[in-house]
Amino acid sequence: MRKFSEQYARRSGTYFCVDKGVTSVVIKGLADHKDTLGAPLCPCRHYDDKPAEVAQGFWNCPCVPMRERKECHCMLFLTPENDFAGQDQAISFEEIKESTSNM
Amino acid sequence: MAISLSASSIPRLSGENPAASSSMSPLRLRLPAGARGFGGGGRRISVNSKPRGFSLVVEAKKQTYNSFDDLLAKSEKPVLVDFYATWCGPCQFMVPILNEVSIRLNDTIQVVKIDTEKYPSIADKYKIEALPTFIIFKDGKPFERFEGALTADQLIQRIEDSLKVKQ
Repeated sequence: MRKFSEQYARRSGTYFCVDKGVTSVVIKGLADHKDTLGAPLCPCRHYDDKPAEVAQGFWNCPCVPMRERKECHCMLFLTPENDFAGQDQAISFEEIKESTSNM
Repeated sequence: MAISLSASSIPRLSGENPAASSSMSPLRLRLPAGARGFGGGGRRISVNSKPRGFSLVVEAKKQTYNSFDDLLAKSEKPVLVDFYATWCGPCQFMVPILNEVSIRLNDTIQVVKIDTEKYPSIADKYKIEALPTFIIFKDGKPFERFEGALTADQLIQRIEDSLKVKQ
């Protein structure tokens, strides 16, 4: 999901959060869902039935709000005007590992 | 991003325990038994009887709650509840911010965090969808709710406006 995030940020003209810890946690969450559910379901939502949501597809990353309106409440993909947007569209595996190692 | 788990007076529901029937003496542990995420192992309790409930020991006050409802009922102040999930980025972003707000508004509000993966029934009950969702409970009932990460100043402003209490 790290490669996907970098590519999609570039493609959508969005940027990672100034706090790369946020980016790392979300990428880890997406990867976790991809492993357990078969699809990168948005990790920033509460669901009644995760497999049903995966089948339905609305919240599979990139979710419909992101695709339609560049709205990412996970703070993974931020439009340049967003207060929390940084300058990066890249993140290394090491950065992710470091940020999420104590969780 | 440093996520500090210690030195926090914020009680956190992070371990589901079908727990403590009345025949067991309450465990005066620093951690909810069997809970993870506080950096220490918990003991497993095997329980034969329901009802469902859990023991939560609040480090700062050493109170034991039997349920979330119990916590709400026993609170003398309004309660700010943070519904979160481990792999929700903005939720982790809020960890140090909630610590700060909890200290700055110590007399005004009690801050509680609920892991929606560990307590899905509570999350369902309050129709939680986006994370983080914050609900301010007054007199044990939801009073105001809002979603998304915000800065400490923004959160304090929101709480004070909501409760109409100025510091």
